[in-house]
Amino acid sequence: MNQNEETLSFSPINGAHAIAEVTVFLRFEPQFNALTISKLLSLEEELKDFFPTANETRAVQFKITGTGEKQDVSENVAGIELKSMNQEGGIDWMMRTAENSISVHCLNYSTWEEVSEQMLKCLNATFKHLDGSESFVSNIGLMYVDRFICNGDNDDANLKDLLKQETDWVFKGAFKSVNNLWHSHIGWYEDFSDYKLLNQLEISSSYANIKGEKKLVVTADHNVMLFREDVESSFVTYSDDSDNSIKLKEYIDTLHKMNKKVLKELLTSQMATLINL
Amino acid sequence: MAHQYTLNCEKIKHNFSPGVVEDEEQLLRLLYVPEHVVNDVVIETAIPLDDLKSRGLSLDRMTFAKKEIIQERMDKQMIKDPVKRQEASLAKFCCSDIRSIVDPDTGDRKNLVIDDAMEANIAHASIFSHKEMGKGALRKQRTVLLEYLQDRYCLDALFD
Amino acid sequence: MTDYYAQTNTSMGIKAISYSEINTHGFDSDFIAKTVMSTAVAAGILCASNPIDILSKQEFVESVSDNRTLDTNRQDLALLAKIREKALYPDNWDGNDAKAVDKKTINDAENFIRRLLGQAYIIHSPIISLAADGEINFLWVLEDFRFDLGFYGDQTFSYYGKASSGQEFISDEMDISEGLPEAIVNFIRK
Repeated sequence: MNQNEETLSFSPINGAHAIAEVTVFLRFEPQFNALTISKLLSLEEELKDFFPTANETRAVQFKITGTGEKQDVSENVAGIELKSMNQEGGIDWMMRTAENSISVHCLNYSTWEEVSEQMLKCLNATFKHLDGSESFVSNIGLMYVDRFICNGDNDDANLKDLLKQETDWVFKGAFKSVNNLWHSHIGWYEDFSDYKLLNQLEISSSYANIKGEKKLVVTADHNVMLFREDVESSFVTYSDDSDNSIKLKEYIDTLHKMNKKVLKELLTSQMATLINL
Repeated sequence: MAHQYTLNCEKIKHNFSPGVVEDEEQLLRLLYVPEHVVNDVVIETAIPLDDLKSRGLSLDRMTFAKKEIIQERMDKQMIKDPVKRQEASLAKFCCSDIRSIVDPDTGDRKNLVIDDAMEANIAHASIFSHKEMGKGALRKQRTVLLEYLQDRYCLDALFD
Repeated sequence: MTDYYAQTNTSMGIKAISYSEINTHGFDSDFIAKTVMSTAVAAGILCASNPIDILSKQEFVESVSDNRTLDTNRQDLALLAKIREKALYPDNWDGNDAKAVDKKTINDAENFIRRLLGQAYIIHSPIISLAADGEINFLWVLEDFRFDLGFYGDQTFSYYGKASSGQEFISDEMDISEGLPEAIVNFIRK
């Protein structure tokens, strides 16, 4: 019998694809100083056409002594969150700056070409505010959250419809869990396309409220990161020249391909086909 | 690569064949349900362009067809969802209907119906596009052919 | 609106706790700040010391997705799902040597539909089917227009259509990157 989505016990949560969120993030060392943080606040005005909603985030910092006392309490602006909402009130896109990171989150995935182009536009918009700061990019990463929902009765879920039994990326006990609930958190470094990449993969099977119904959902949360010290040539700079843009695009394209590789090793061929991996 | 058949090939009897395909013969085309039948109407993908161009659109000559041979092909069809499984159906039409389709401008025939008998199925025949043409023109041709595939029967109705 | 987060620095490293949507409860900011700080202190005290720094386990970014799903009935998602479903058909799916569809054909069909929806926004949805020769076919059967368009994975598409007026539209080969002529789009646009 030709199996298709109607006979598999899982399907991608968004029908044509399983991507609940894809995020690109840059981490910086040392943390942004107050001047850089305040410069980044002007992104609210600069990017308001794409992100109509904005709010500041504040940080309350303190130290805990050996005796449990609080010391050196301070509160200041830590960054900004910019959002593009959809008609249902959910987030389609979000950009967040924090004290040592900038991240761009997409929750309405179309194609990698379109999404990565928008992500790069957002990141490039930050660079003129970072130029001259003592913080430098220490790593760049991509996070994919893929979700697969059980079709029909949760008790009829068969993990073998979704994940390869022989995959290296989930433990064998997941296929034997008596109530279909389990989780797996792993991390490893891998040589890929001339780079050494850190992979972190969290996969879990749990119940979630999906459109008012209790459904079994398998979530694969995959972080792929490239660290400055592992790149022989110059890393990401704050230049808006084409060389830097090309380099940045090359890095995130590489991270994207790593994600595809891991998913191909994780998912059954039918599920990979259903999401056109 | 396009087929090499000409109008003369309609007069050639193949090995294993009971004879060339006559104009008055009834021809059968096995349809894949539900992929090619939507809202009880046979749709374009029932006639692959590549069949018209080179492979030949497979038919059975009703006079010589064996029920069990057609049944075997029906059984091999991989229906994707047993809940939706429907009895495979056969379109029935007359050979002369196909051969009489002509280009309105030139009067040239559009289709060939060739005796394509095989040892395992002596009733096998094929429709080919007479002239080589691009995919757009082939689509137009199949739209016309499609009109003759709408008269459908189950196997038992034709052979019992 | 302002979000608050507190950060503690313990022997396990920096931990952050955030608290948002504060204004929905009408609490004053001072109360909230104290609540967040107390939570962070509790978290800091409860964290066991762990001298081993597991490099591969560093935390980097927080997801903001929840249990929300996109609307699978949204036209682009629904059509893409139907196209991708055709890729599950194996070789010989009709029992008569039918070809499985090629990944390039799937990609061509997807790129076309994305472009078309960008051009027309909302369209009458086509019937999407697979032919035995590996063609992915889009068929529009409308009151005043029948339109047959298909892909074979060579980055082109071909079509034939006829309006009730008798007007015909035909192309043997159009590049995927080209849009459909506006005259055709007008028929299939909703």
